[in-house]
Amino acid sequence: MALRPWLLGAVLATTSLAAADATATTVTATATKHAQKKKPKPGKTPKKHGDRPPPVHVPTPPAPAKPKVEATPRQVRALPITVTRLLLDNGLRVVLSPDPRVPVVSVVVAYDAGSRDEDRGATGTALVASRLLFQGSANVLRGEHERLVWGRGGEIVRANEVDRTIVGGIAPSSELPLLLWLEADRMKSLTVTQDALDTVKKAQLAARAQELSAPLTAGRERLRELVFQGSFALEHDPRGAIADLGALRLDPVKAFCETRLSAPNAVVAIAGDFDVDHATQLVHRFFDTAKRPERAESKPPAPVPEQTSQRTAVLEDAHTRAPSVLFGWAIPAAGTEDHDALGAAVSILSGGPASRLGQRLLLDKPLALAVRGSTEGQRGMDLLSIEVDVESDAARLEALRAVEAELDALAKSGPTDAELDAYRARLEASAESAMGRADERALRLAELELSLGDARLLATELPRRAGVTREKIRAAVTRYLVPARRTLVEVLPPRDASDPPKKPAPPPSAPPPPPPKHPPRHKR
Amino acid sequence: MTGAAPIARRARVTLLAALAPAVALSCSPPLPAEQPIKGLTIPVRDPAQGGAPDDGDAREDPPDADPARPFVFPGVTRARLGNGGDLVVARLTGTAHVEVSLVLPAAGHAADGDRSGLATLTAAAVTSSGAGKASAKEIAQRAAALGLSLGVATTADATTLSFAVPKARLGEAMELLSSVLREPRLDDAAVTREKRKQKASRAALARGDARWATTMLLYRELFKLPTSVHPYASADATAQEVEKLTVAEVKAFHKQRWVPSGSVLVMVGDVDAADARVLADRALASWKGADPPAQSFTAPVVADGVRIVVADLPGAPTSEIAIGTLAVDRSDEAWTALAVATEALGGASTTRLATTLAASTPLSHRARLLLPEVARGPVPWVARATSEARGTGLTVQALLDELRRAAESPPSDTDVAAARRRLLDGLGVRLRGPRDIATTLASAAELRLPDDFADRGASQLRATDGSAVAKALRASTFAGVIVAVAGDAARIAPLLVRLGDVTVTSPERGFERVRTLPADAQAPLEAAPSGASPAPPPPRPPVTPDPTGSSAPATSAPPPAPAPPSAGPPR
Repeated sequence: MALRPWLLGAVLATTSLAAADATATTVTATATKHAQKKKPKPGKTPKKHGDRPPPVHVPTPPAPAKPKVEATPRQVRALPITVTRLLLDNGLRVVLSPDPRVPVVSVVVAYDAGSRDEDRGATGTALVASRLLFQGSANVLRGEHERLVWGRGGEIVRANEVDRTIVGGIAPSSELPLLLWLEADRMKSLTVTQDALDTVKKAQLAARAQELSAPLTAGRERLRELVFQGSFALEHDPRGAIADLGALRLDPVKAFCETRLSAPNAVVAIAGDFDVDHATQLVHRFFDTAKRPERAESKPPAPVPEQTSQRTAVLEDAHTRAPSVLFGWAIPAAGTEDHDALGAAVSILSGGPASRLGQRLLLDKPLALAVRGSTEGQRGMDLLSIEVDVESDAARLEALRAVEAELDALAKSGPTDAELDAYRARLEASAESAMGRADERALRLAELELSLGDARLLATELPRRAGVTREKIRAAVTRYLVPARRTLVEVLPPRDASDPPKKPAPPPSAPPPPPPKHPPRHKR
Repeated sequence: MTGAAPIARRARVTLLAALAPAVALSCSPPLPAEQPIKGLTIPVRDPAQGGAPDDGDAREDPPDADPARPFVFPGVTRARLGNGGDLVVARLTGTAHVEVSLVLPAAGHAADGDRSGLATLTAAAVTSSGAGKASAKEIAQRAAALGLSLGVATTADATTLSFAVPKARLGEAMELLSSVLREPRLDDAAVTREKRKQKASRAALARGDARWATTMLLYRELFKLPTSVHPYASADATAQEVEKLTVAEVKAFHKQRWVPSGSVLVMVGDVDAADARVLADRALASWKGADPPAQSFTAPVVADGVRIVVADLPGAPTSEIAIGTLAVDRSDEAWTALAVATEALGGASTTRLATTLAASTPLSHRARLLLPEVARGPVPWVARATSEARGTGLTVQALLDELRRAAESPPSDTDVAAARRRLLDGLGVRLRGPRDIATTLASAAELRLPDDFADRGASQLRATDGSAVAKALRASTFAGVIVAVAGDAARIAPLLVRLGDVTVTSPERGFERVRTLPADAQAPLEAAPSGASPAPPPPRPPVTPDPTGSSAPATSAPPPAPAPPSAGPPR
């Protein structure tokens, strides 16, 4: 299943993502008296089946403070969510959230490994590593993972982001043992051979060539480069450069897999129709023998230098037919108060035909063909982008001015009560829809545990995000979405749109050149 | 996300997913879980295939499944509304939102006739032009205040409006829906605006969407009639076809075909069927209209042999390939067996079609078999794959060989059992949310399936064995096939002439024929690897607002240096 995940705090213009229980009363955490005395024992002898230690208590963080909410006209409805957390001796974090409504179960593993962990000249390593997870392990031959999940009525879950690698599956609830066994086997004994690497590289080169044939791909990559200029970890595309992908060598990729796709770097989340005790037993049975490698810490990316003037670029994109204008800003990390406010802002600006830009550019005076806005949910710094597709060159300037004018207005007066109400209603609807699906709930739990250290924050995420106030939105827009911090990429079709593209992407199988020693820096 | 989707037509969720709800609908006993299929585990280790290199044959078997809890489809209640339409309610307790879909079978794009794009344009205009005294902006604001986003999708067999709304506001949402249905403004400005958007999206698709291009060509050729236009011949409109549509035609289409007769309103959520009926009757009582005109569906026939058509996408590094024929009717009993065969042979990256192709033609990717559903007449049976451009001929040849082999060498009993099990056991996975259930019920309405479709389908699925699959495959031979390929014609057409005459068309010119290359039995199927790509052209000057508000172009970053050959995309 190609799952565009519930990114951490990510906002797509039409579907803002959150789900939670407004009260923490249904949140549980497994705790025993043995809990905090346990220490990791690398290389510990595997336990017999069923011979497991008691669950280990994860120190409970202070209860999230109730947001200081101004009087709001709409009460956000609580969603009942139960969360149990375990910490295994090898450092693996496990989150369990039962929901018996539909007899399916999802197991999602989120590894703290992403493109931000890649070195220059080796972009695409994280993506390739994630695909190698399907190339075989001690007890699972190449292709057998997908075959087993498919054959038992399930689907694969996988996604690659800047700061995490997601794999897993969803299947009938009777297949929980299979899903856990498969994840454990590849966590413990991934097979990384030259043959497997070549297979993955070939497939990724072909996929990359296709992506680069899609409209706006080049423009979006350029936007990211400019927004995060100066921080290699964030500025390069998570899918890697074709040249780098083709040049990836076995040993560094193998090292990446061994250190980063490992138990202490991972969170296993289980959601759906299952019994917590039974699932806990299975977790110990399959995962207790996973090793704790010596080096598994993920280094935080270098900070993004503060931007002090607008950055611009113009691209001619042979694959697009109408001009597009892409705006981007570096914003604070997902999960912060400012990120919540900016998530609301981008939804109010571009979420649906009733949004400010929707009304202005699509209904009042139809200048645009489409307007999109999003945040990505990254840790560290995140990316907020707004994209406007216009019909002609002549409409570009008007569209640019419209975006500027609406940003100014939002900074000056903040959103109206009606806009805030509509935003909250959208949040609630998307939260219920997503939390009712086992795979999306598992994914979100894993992301929260990985990124913020506590999956139980899911319980307070919706009221927290819905509690954002007019003043906070106004202040965040004033501080972050200013022209001096803005990046603007204009994507233009070929001068004569009826001309065929003149720049075919290189054939995927063509041998790539060696990576440059010093990649050119982007100019401001 | 605001604005028109790239293509407004909805891919229909296959009703394979809805076959087994009969488990609950018919009060038949729960389906026993089939035993794990040992054949799914490859018994002999090849070190090159993965797995630990030194553990001999000590490979651990996957764990057994826990006891199964069968998926239970929610009970469905059907009622006839006062306006002549039907209401279908599936109750799911404990949900705060209700999923609503209104299916209009008379307003699918099969009803376009020779005005391709009319159904889709009408749907977009109706839902975005305002209604009654409310402007488009006011309708959008009312919808936003209810927390709903009114979706609209047009397939060949229906236009469907859909939204999710908090249960407490279902009545208000139904009133809004009613207003949009009954009294859309459809003023010149709104229809023209939607027309421009649709034209632009089709132009963009024609420029570079290989999958769209192959679908257009495939349906055009599969449903070609000697003297008339089959309702399914146009999978979507081209920009040129959209350009010809008029406001008057949109208004007439709405009046004739957006009518309650034949419509089905689907509600899924924590809503009582009787309450839902009261709400629906109250909101839709004044929605009236004459029965829509009947349509003629002449049986299409694909001539024996291979017909090859190419959509030229200059510069495309890969080719998208769709090979199709016409199979049985959706209502035919053999359809279920063919669906199982499709799943067994080409339902995943690990099934026979994909693995065989990957082994024989390394330049190919993502081979799959599909059985799209249409309400009337034979359904298309389609094999898809992508290929690097230089391997296009080989990939097409390999696909054709595999499809022909399917009848002679049907899937094993083990593979059939796996496919059947996937279709039955995986129901909960595919229908895991209220929206999935609403979509399934809406699809059933589109396909005019009888109320016991689920019961019947599940029984047929349980009864489908290897011999039934083999029989269905023998009956669905690929004697007459259409090969539709989208890619760089200059590179790929010469690689296809070995298989027959090749007609090259231009998607940007409404799939007009550009040239025909005669068959050449000596032509190669594969080309040698090509070299580097040319340098990109210089960019245009930017139009960037400066902080002072002047319209003069502001300072912009110089364009990045051209990338070295093969280093990546042009920037």
